[in-house]
Amino acid sequence: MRPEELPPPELKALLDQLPPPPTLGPMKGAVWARVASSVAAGPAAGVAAATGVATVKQALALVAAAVVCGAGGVIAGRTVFAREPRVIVHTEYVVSPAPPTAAPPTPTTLSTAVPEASAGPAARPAVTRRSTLSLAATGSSEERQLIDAARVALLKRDVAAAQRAIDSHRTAFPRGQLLEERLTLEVQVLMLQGKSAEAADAARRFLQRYPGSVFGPVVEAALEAAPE
Amino acid sequence: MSFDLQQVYEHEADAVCAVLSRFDLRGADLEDAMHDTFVIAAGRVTTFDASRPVRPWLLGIAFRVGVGRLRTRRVHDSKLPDDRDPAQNPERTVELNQAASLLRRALTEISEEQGTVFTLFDLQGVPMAEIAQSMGVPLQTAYSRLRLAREAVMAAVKRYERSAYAP
Repeated sequence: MRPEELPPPELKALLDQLPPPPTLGPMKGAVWARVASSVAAGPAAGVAAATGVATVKQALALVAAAVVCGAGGVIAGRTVFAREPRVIVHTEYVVSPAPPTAAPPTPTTLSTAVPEASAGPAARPAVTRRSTLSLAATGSSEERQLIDAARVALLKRDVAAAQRAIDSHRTAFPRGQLLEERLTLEVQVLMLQGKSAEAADAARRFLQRYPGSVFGPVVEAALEAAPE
Repeated sequence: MSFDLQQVYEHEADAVCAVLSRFDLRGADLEDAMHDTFVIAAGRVTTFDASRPVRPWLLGIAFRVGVGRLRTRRVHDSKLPDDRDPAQNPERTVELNQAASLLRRALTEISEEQGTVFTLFDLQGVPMAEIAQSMGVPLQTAYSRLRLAREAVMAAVKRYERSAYAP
């Protein structure tokens, strides 16, 4: 063992006192069955890698299709899929979101559209949907944990757990980097709760606030499924 | 890039279980956390660099799931749930439980990066070379992070020990 690897005596004493971890036993198979079932609920193809696409149009089509598949949506009251949208893109297309608050990072859009001056805390670059794609921010690890928890809960149709995670995120990160993603999850939760009219209202507000959002198709699906 | 989730599960499930168990997850909670870990991993497979080792990446996800669950539950424990037979060796049981309790609380207090490095190396015995490769940092940087992680863990443990015995 290298010297740097040797734990200090106090730490070693603590580690030596730790109980051995439990064994999985029969739970191993049961957990796999659940995992396989949950993963199977997603699309067959994962989020596509747009590396090496020859044209902007190809990249847009590929990424848009991937995001539709990967962002998660509720159609007709059932969760179609829920998978974190992550896209590896060609180095010429570095994509980052423009958070609705605070000083935005330097997003690199797929066009040369110039952002408008910020009109307030929720201002976003003024670009058309075709011209700009923004993907979910990574957020802090704590923020991402909450969104992940909500998304996984939705996968499992555990509406109560999804709602708890969403509420926790709303409290802890009222203007977090993942606000946009949380709002889409809220729409999906409302749909699963059978609150179609509320989901539609939330969807309309979302689309007004985030025109051209990468989550647009997901939210629009909820709008279409709502009664008039 | 190829990623066989079932194969990964077969190979890594025990290690994931070991990491999650450090957060006082048992029974149905442990099963749920394991499910969540692999589902999240499945969702992130497209961003996983297959040239890097799987275990550190996967256990990093497990660590975050464990910390998240513990923080959500707001466990302020001065004792662990008793999953051992205290009649066999009560003093040893209490000692083991206190160490696990202190460590568990410390892991929720330190940064995720530090907690992950510490968990991977000191708790799971993942070789440092694999940890460095997974993190995409030079080996010496990984050792530096381990040193800082250990210092943070022990500082947190001492804080809890002091508060436990504070008048």
